[in-house]
Amino acid sequence: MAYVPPGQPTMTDDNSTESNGVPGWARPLIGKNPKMTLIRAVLFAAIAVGIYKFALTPIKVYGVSMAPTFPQGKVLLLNRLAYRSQTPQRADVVVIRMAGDSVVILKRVIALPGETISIVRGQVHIDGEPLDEPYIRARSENWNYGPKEVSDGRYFVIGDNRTTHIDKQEFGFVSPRNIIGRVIE
Amino acid sequence: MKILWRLFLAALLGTGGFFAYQFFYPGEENRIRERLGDLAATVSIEAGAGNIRKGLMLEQFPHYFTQDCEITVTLKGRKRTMSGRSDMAQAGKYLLGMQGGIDVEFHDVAVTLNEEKNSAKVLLTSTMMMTATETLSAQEFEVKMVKEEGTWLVSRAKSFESLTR
Repeated sequence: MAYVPPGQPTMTDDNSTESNGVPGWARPLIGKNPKMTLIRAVLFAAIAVGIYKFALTPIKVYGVSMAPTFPQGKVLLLNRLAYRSQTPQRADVVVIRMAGDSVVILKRVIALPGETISIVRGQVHIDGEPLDEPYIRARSENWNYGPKEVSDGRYFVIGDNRTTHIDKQEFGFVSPRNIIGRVIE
Repeated sequence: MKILWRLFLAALLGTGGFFAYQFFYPGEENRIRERLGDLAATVSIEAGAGNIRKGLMLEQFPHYFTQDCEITVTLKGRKRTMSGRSDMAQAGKYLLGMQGGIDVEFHDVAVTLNEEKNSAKVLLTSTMMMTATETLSAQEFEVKMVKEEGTWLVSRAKSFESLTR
């Protein structure tokens, strides 16, 4: 004879453990208390979806425009909350939406609103001063652009791969409302 | 516990019912999405596709467009316009001439129907993957679709450059 407090597992005649009507074999899957397990599972799914949609989203790199910093196939994390309290800064790698955010553009912020950007034989100049870009491994001398002023409320973005011909790279001005967030490097 | 399970089952049945209704009675918006999906599937050609598949693509591709269609694609500052089904047939041949296979998809399709539901503005991102090299190119498009004899056709399409130089 033994006293078993309510809610505790009991040994049945066939030696399988039961609690709240849950057979022993199902315990690893749904736990002792299926109600709490269901609540936990729903809560966990809601938190996971919330994080994925509004905070941290994995993105996969296609193309070579950000090579060698981010080679093709690399999976990165997009921080969607990065610009809630601050504006994009120079050298930030930002994610830019297209028609939606299933397919996005990955570029680096080079020039800020009000600055003048020019590229002379591969060397970026901001307001006439050469910009130090430690993330660039090689430059092609056919890169010539500007000078152009970045209008207020816009940013100038470009990829890290400057070895291709300038006409084969997508770069230019972007409105901050199209910037979804920053890549966690 | 029973209430939770009943709620869960009700949600499951409701979701299933919604999708079943959408499947059996698709609205015009869904018909447009399906049509665009078919267009993407038609132009997507796997590497080593046979002549029958290629011939079908060439035959079907122009018929997704109106007789007087106008498609403008701007790529890295260069603009190209194609007009009419004959130009679209040429575009189909150009796509077939590409090395390896291509996989075309439309993403983030947003459809706005007019009041008569015989014309629609569609915003989307189109991607084209060259399967041999895994090179992906993406373009934003604004598409005007019109309903002719019960079939949705592309009447106008204009690409956008997401970054302006």
